[in-house]
Amino acid sequence: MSAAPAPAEPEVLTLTDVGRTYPGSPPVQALRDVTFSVQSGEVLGIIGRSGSGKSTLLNVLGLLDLPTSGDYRVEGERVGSLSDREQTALRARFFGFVFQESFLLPSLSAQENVELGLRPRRMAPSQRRQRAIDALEQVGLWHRRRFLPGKMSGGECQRVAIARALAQRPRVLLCDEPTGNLDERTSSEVLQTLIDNQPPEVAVVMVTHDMGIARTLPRLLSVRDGVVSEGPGEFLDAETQPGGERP
Amino acid sequence: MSGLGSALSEAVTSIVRQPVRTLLCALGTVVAVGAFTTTNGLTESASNAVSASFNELRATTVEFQGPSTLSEANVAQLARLRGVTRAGLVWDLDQQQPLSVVVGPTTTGPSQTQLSVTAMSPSAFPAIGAVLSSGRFYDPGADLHHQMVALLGSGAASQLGINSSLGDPAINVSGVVLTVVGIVSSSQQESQALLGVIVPPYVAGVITGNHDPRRVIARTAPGAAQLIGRQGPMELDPYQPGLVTAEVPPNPSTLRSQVQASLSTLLHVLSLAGLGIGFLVIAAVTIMSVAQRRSEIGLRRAVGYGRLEIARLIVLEAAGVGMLGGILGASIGVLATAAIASNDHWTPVMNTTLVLAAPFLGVAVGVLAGSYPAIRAARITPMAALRS
Repeated sequence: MSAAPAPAEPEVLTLTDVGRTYPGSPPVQALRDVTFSVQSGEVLGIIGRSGSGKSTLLNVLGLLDLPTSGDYRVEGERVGSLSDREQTALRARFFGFVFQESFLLPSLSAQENVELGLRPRRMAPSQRRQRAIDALEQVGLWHRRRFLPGKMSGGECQRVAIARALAQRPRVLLCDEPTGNLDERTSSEVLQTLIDNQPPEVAVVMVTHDMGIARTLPRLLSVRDGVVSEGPGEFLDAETQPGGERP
Repeated sequence: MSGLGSALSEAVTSIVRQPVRTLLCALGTVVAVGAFTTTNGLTESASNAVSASFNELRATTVEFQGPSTLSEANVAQLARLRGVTRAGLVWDLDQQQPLSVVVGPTTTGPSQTQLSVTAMSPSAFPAIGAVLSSGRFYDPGADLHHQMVALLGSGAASQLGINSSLGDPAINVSGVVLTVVGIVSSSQQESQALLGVIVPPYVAGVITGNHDPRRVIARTAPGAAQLIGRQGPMELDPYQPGLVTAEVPPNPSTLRSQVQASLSTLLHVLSLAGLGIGFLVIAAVTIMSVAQRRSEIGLRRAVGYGRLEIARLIVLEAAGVGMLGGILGASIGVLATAAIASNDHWTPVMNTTLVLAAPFLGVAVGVLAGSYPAIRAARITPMAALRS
């Protein structure tokens, strides 16, 4: 497993022999010796079966979880040596998240939900508001900015979640099955929104089980039993064969 | 990271946008602070009413106990003291041992009964606040002219079957025939006398001799009782003032303090119980709220909220709920105090400092009650919260 080099772009995320083991009886080894890197502006897909470890990998990448072995660096900074506070600050500054669920707060309007991602930063309220409005414009929901999540469709909620991530202006956008809960048509709309609105320097790492989406991504990693391999592995081939297993 | 102002605005938004949760959470504090304010208000009002009542009835009466040699002349000396408004001599014949009383001049009859007999100088009637329902009081002339007269207390009169002094009914007290000149219906002091026969000093001497220890009831001007209590023995018995003891009413301010102290003990117990309930309700609802908001907490952690910011948000929300509960509770307490006091014809008295402090008391309860859930919330890892 070696990283596909992109010589022109600097590496923003670097994993070397990273492992994640959950304690228990017996302990569960969710990731084993993962080694790859992500370049600035790169769009990367992670595919794998349910329970293979792809979400754990995404959590480790986004500092929502920490590796139990190996070396993980964000722009050369070793994550393991950071305190909880420093990790939180780095996460806020560096990563944006789009999850399978939108996780919008039901009591806040679309705009307030987008602003939520900016609140941890020392930012003037007017600046925060403007950024949120800009992000909602990007995803085509400016006109729905005062709506509560309960009054919006699933696709719209997910677009608000994307706007929340965009407003943070992250260096790396981590997406965990961002269209997993949506129908096919809405799914492609949301995906289009996600891809189209990224500045070229932002890296996108997307966990997906949708092979249609996976095929469109320039680089794929496949995960099986916690082991990460470069390329689609057996998944794209399997799907094309009769009785083939979907990841 | 996030400033306190931003956290405050978030807490206010959360409180305002989720009114049902907020009201449920605030209910405990509303009850607690309401009970606290009401109890305090009622204590203050009751103390005020009780003290006023004691001032009126008791604070102007001094009672002296002395030997059988105390006479009307001594009482007249006492009455000359500045501050004494009325004074009279009183004593119980045979130490309140009941004597045989019969209606009519004979010593025996169907109405024979045992009654206490009290001797009183005429000047004692206004001093004890005696009121007649029939006839008249005997006057100083009765003693001067050795008139064999008596008054009946209303209780004794009904026991003897005498409804009126009209026709000067006669009674026989231990062999001494007396004419009933009046019936006493009530008395602010010496209510015991209403159950028996009241006679002039001369008659008392005829019945039992003059060997009983005597009492002098003195009414004073407001605020003079303590001083009269100190000076009185010297006036009543200048040669042996040590034989005269004075029973003075408690100092009104001391009395008020005592009443307030005893009532405030009740207040503290009830208030603490109420605040305890409020604390538990806020803590329980906040713990439930944290459990329900795990995914929200996970999201906040994911977008960059630190543990401290999460804890601060939860505590600020609990404090806000506590403040709301404090304001509502204090308002309800003031209204309840006014309503109850008016109903009992008391003047509503509220401690304004306490009423103004009630919202802050609510905040304190909220902060304390929200601390544990806040610590729990801060410990939630973002990954675990987002999974839930």
